[in-house]
Amino acid sequence: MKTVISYPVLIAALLALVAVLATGSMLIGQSGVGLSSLFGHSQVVDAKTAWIIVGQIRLPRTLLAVTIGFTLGLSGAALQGFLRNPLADPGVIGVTSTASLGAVLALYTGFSALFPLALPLLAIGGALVCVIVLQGLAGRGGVLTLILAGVAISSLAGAATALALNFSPNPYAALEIVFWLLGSVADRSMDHVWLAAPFMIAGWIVLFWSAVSLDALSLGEESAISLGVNLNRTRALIVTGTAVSVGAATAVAGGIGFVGLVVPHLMRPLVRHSPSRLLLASGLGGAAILVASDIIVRMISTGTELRLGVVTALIGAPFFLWLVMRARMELES
Amino acid sequence: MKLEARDITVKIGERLVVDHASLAVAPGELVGLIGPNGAGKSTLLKAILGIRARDGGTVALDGADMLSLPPRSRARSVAFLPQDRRVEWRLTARDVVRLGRYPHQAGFGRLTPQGQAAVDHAINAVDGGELLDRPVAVLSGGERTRILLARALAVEAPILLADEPIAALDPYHQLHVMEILHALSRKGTGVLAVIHDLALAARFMDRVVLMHDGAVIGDGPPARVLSPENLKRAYRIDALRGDEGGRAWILPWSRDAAISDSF
Repeated sequence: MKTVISYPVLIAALLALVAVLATGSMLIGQSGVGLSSLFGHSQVVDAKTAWIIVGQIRLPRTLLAVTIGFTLGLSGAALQGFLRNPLADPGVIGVTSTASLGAVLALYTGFSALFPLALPLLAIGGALVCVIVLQGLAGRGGVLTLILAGVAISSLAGAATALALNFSPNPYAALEIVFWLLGSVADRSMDHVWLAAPFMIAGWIVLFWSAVSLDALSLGEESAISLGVNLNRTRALIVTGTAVSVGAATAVAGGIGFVGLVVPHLMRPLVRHSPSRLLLASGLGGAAILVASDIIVRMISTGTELRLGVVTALIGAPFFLWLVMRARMELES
Repeated sequence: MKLEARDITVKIGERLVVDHASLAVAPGELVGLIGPNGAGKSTLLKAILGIRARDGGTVALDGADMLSLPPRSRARSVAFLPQDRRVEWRLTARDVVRLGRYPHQAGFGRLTPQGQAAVDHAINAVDGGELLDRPVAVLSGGERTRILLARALAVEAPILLADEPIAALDPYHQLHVMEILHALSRKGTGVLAVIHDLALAARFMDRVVLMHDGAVIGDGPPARVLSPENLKRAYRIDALRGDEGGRAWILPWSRDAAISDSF
């Protein structure tokens, strides 16, 4: 058995990584504003403009990448632990689709043009509807009922989104919807941060609440119940925590895939496979990966902006395949 | 602490799976729950624990209704070793045994010295010291059973319910697990174990409860309950019997149908 680094060291290392990447994210951008500009040593912009660019453009973008990455990593880990299914991610319970549908409705109806926060608010509303429907359909059922209900909700929300695209008044409206769905944290303001952060943090607290039950659940539901785990309560915590935090994340950034699926797999060996220890590690890992992806987006962007959701999927999918191959090789050896 | 289940009834649809079954486990007693496949043994165990809903009957711990206890308090009183031996996520044996302390912890608790002592003691009881750093998923059937039994022992509950603790084990490990359960009961724990091996039931159990078609049809010392009539009625078998140093032994030998089979 190979020795792994201790949990506090791992968490400290991940925190340091997130801090370094976030600092990098504040100092990299198309305007060319870097560290020297902030202290008036640049020919391109004066220090005042530089501080405005960093404070009003890059700060909200970085904060959103960190918190949304944390949300996706954390909720992916919590769902995989609860469902005892390594393929679970926030999309599996339908919350990403319903939040997207809310946002699409805001774009389609034109509310978002009248009132900028209509889009995130409707998206969060969509996520909350998902929780209510899920609790109604699968509140007392098993894991399978929850997954099936999630798939049904997801398909229905996807169909409704397609319907909105189908009937969109003009090609530009359709394009706006499609681009939004691809996911991005570019051009967001601190308003977006203030709107989404409370929901995300509330969701994190609820998810961490369930942590210890997740460990007991790795012995199966019967053992968990015999150890005093309240399954209905744990399910309600996981579903609500995921929906509230991922709903808020989707509301301000659109659909960003693969972070919630891949990061828990990446972190699991580093926390000795414990579902409870995985939560924080996976959250920090998700934050690091999303900030790094957003830096990549900015570094290679020319003309049309490359969307963050596209990058995470392009990196995430092959990486996931590699994880699958490695797991198969481990099984065979 | 004494566990008393009275008139437990469980239905699946219209079918009575457990039919007004009653049994009791007293401190220091090793009780075998026996009966053919589908007799309702596992269902009865789960109904007692509240893992599955029951359609009638009561379970009392020292006279108090068990279902009215808070989940963790109930978990501290009655430990359970389920038939399902799967462990997800490559958790190490050490982490699995530590989960036995879950009912004693509040929230993100680290193990107390007392909790650590309970874990160490449970690991010693099953001779599991060498397995601790290995993932349970890669252990052999016998090793896995011992580690999961240690998990149940780490609860330090006054009552242990075990569902087929020796299923799929070789004779050496069957005897090992039976000896662990026997030693546990001699120290005062009330143990109720579902068991298919009539020879080991006759040898180790203080008392056996025989189930047939959901109902309890015998409850008493093995020598009395495992009578030729009961074996014919419940299992449709005949057994060889003998005596070894004052202890009766029993060996299932032929089945009723064998006579008419054209095998």
